[in-house]
Amino acid sequence: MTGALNLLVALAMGLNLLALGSSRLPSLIRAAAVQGMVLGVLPLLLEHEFHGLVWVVAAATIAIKGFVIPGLLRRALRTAHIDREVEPLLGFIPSLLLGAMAAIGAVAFAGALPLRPEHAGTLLVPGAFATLVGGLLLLMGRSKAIAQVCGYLILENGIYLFGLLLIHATPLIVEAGILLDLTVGVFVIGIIVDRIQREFDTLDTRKLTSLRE
Amino acid sequence: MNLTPAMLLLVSLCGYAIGAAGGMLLLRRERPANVWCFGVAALSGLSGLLAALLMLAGGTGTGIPQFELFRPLLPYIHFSVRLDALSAFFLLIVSLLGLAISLFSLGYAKGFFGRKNVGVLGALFNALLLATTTMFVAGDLWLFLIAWELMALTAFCLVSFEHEKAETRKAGVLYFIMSHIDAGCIILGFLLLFQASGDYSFTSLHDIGAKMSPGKRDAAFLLFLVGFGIKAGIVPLHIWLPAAHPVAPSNVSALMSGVIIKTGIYGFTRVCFDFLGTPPLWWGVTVLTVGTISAVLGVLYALMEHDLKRLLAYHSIENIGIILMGLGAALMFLHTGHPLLATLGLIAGLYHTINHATFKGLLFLGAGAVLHATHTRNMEEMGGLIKRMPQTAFFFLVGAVAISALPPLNGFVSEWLTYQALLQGFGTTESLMRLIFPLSGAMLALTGALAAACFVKAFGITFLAQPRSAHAEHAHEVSLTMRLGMGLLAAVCVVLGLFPTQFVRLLDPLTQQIIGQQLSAQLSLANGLVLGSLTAKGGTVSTLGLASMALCLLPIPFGLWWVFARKTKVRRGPTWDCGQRGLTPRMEYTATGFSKPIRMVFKALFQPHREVQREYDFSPYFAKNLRFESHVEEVFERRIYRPARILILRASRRIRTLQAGSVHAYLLYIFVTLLALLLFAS
Amino acid sequence: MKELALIAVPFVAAIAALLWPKDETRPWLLPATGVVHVALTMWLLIAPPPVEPMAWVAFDPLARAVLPAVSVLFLACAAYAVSYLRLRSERPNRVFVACLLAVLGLLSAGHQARHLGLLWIATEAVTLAAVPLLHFNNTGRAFEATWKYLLVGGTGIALSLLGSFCLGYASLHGGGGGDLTFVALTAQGAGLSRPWVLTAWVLLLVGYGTKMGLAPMHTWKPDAYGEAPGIVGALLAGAVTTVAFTAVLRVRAVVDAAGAGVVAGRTLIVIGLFSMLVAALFLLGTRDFKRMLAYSSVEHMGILSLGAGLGGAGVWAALFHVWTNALTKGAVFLSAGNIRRAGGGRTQDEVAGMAILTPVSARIFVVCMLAITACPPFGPFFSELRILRAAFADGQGAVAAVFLAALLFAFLGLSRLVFAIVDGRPRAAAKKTDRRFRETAGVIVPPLVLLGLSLWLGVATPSVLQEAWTAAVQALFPLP
Repeated sequence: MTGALNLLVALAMGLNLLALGSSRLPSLIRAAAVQGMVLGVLPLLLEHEFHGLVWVVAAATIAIKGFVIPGLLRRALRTAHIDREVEPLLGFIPSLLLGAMAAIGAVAFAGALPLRPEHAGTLLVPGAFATLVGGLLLLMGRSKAIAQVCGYLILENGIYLFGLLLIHATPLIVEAGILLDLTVGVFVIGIIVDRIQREFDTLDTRKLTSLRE
Repeated sequence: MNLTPAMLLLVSLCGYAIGAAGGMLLLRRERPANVWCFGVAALSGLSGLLAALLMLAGGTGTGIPQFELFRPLLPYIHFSVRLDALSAFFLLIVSLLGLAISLFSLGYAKGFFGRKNVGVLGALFNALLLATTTMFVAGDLWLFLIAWELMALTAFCLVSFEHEKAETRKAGVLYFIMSHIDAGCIILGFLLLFQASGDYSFTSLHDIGAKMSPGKRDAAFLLFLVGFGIKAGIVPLHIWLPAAHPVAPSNVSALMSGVIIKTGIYGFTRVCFDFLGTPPLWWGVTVLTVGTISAVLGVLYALMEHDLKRLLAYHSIENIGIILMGLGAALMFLHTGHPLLATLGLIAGLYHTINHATFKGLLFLGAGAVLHATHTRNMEEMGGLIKRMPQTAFFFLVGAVAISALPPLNGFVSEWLTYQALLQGFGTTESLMRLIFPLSGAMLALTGALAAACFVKAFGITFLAQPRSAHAEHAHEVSLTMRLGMGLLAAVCVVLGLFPTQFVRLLDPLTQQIIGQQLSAQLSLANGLVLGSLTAKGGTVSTLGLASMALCLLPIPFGLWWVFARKTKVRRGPTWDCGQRGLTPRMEYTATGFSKPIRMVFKALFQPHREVQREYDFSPYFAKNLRFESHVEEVFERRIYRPARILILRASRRIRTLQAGSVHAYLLYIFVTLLALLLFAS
Repeated sequence: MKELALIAVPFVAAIAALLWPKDETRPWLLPATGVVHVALTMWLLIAPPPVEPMAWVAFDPLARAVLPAVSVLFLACAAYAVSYLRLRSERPNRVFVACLLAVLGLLSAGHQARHLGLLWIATEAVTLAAVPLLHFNNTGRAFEATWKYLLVGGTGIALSLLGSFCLGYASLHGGGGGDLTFVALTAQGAGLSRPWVLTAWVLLLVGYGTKMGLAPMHTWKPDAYGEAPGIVGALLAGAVTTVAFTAVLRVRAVVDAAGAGVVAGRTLIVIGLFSMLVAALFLLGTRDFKRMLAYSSVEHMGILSLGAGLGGAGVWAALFHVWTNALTKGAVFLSAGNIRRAGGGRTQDEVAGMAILTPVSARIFVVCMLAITACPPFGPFFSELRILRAAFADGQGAVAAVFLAALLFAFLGLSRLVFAIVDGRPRAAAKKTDRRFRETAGVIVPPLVLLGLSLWLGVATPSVLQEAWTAAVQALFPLP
């Protein structure tokens, strides 16, 4: 079980690097979507008894993170008729280097924190932190609004990964509420992205600097 | 009915409140508003004056009246009013000035009719008097602080009354800012005291310094020195004073210079002599030094001014310095264990406080009358006013003589007392610190001489010779109420000058309460007219004797003239005019010219800015055009305030780059903070 | 039951607002709901219900100490909104009104949440519900502000979710059940795993600190407050920030119980003072009076954080300050809104002489400025004095000095700008602005009432409130 789990988490960490290295928006969206789907599978591996709700949550996660939100982003990309280049503020090579360093740092950081025996052998905690930092790097280092949304998705994936540690402790309603909130959050962000595109005729957030001191 | 001080005080407070409320109700009707506000303020001032006199004249045996305000309204906080001798003394000052200035304002405020809202002016004026009076008689910290802030606030509103002028706006905001700083320092200082006492009432704070650690006590002292010092206008915290006093309406300037800056003296006396206990030596040395510096620099900068009201404002700084010299000497004597001398120093300081209040109030009212008649503050545009407004000129002259410390007027008495305190201080201690006494004494002498020079200039340029402008040409005597206000203060100047021993006796309860000594028995000789000294070394003087001697001597020259020169023929001819045709005002001595020698002597301090531009056609002797510019900027403005302002503004500009509009940077801040806090917490 | 009604009533009203057919009458739902809400909170304040220890939602002492302030502020804003939305009749208000009501419901939920996850859900939902409020003006600048608000706030709120999970893991690792109710976490106390507690504390502080607007996570604030209508600013600064602050307080209680209270206190003091200083420096430079209010809010969040870092007396003072800040900030935002409407601009280069154009609002604005910069006898003076006293009592003289210096700079900045706007002569731009703006009772009374309440709170703090704050402090930090 742990082996499969670690494999998937490692896959998610690899997708971080892929996302950081993508130079075109569709591939970035794809990386985030695949990562979301990978994470959607994880609860099935962790849960000991399979009751219906777990399946529902997993299916909902995969559907939302893997299809609905990426679909929305792709649609926005199509309607906006924009250049599909990512246009990084932080170059790809530095991004990748920082992402790799973040992965190493996350392993070190997780090593410094005490873990329960059943989690000690897994990559869950380092994976979570690495994904979190990867998402933050995308948020800080990409100029297109859609790329930043992808960064936000990846950041959330990291937190979701961490949340799996508590899967037995957290009541399902709370988890569902959190998932719902995050989804609505991304939707709202999507709506605002759409309005900005219409208002400013661009999705380049470097142009959004009229509010300043 | 038996009038008690407490009742009279309450009447006075209620009167101000009613006056303020009436002003707000009569916003649209300026004539009734004028009469109502200032009439009620005058009556309230009278009531307060009676309360203070009753209290002080009662002697040492009188109980201290205490009562609480708003008892039924505020069940949670008790605002207690307490009229002890120190409060009564300052109540005397504020009420006296309130009465005189209100009378003056009845005529003066007419100048604002149709131009500004007199109802607002009157309401704020009453509110300021209310806040100041309340602050003087507050018996607990809450009431004191609230009244203190309200006083600052109303004073700020009055200073910026004519806010359509940019100069006024700037001065108002500066005043406001400095008030805020002083309030902050005072609150902090009182917090330190409160920590030791655990109670808000002033009675519980008495001698609280004994219970505090020396460090905290020193910190509290410094905070109070800065806090009350800003209010009083000591150098170098005086920066707001020459800006704010001139731009206010003149009746307000008189109130501010006469009373509001004295609130700093009140607070300082209350705290240092009543609360903080026996002082270490350096407190007294600091206060004495600060006082000396303020006195000398105040008068020097006053000499450089040709704006009449700014000149008077700088003299306020000088006089605050003289007051602090007395108080500082008293603190030193308390340390060295000479309570009687300490009493002398304290009396000298407080006597000068009331003297300065009267003559500076009088001078500002005089300046207000001149301003009212000529519509200018620039002395270079005045002149010849003595013929046009003789009574105003006379009152101004009385004030000028008093402030120059010439006998027999009141300024002389208090400065003489200060000299006595300083000169006798030399023998009180063996430490090197005693050198400060003769030094300060010498500085005080210098100050007196320079002040006299300055008022020769102020009076001469303003009132004598020919009018220098059309404004001055068409000036006319001011209305009766205005003259009445000035006359009252002039009379007080004379009375305080001629009957010092009697007045010192009024202060007995005060010194008894604070130091446990009474001075009047030591000072006065049998006939009660002479101000004597405490030891054989000191001097004795009688202003009443001097005055009567002068009166006796006055007939002598007339007699001599009558005897020897009566028959001599008097020939009248034109003044020699160097061959020019007729005398013009342009030939007169100017204020700038008058002060030039002093400007040259103290060049190192003033660093005057001087700029001359000549234009000529063929020979430098026949100038076509000449432009001369000269001004003096204060050394503190140049060296302290401006650099500090520039530093802060630079920091502010630099930090604005943080908010550059880039959301990427904003996210980076969060990330960096996260990392930093993780490091900090682990 | 009443505590659930506090949440349910606004939601029902929000749905009613969505269904209501007419734009003209819809805003009246706001004050109606506000009145019911205030009545309920006052009832609960005076007669607090017994708290079921394990309940997830309850009107517990902390909710009792803070929620009524939110409720009162909302009512004042709601009353103002009726006049305001009439002035802005060109904008459809269906979503705006519904979201305002939803925000009230979610705030009630957030304040009463006794479960870390539930608290997070409520806070995140408030963030999202505020989005339509922010871009009500429908300008490019408003969308830019909303985008930044979402991105910065979203990242912060995500970090606080991670922090919540870390706290859960601290419980799990320490042998507990990973139960995220505050009661269970506090009960586990020293049993929580210390490294995880510290990690959780930092993440939660940064996360909820972003929501509060502590520097340097405050960057969304000037943009959002600058572009949103005055009422939204008032609610964000006075009410939404408090839910984040109570979250910090609740977490701090857990961290205290876990034995890491010293670290928590120190971080709060450091970040609080830093916020105050940064805000003060910004205040000295800004020329836009709506952004000025945002920086002032940052400063006051710093004060709250400092109070929370100073232990029992400080927390008491901070709860006091929550009230005074909410009421005074409400007044200042509403009067600034009037000046913005009538003056036709937001910077001192565009607006001047408002004392002549809108005499009443200008005067209220000046008095509000005095109140918010802690001039006696207004509420903030007394609450900040309490914080100062707490600092002294704690032996933190240096902290008190920095605190006072920051207050002074903030005062300099605020007074400079306010007088520049109020004094002088009106600019030409003001002449061609919204002619419909009149100083009617609808736009004057709400700020005036808030100001009066702030004054009342200062000079005569009602004993029921003092008792409520004491109870909250005792419930959060029980004496050993």
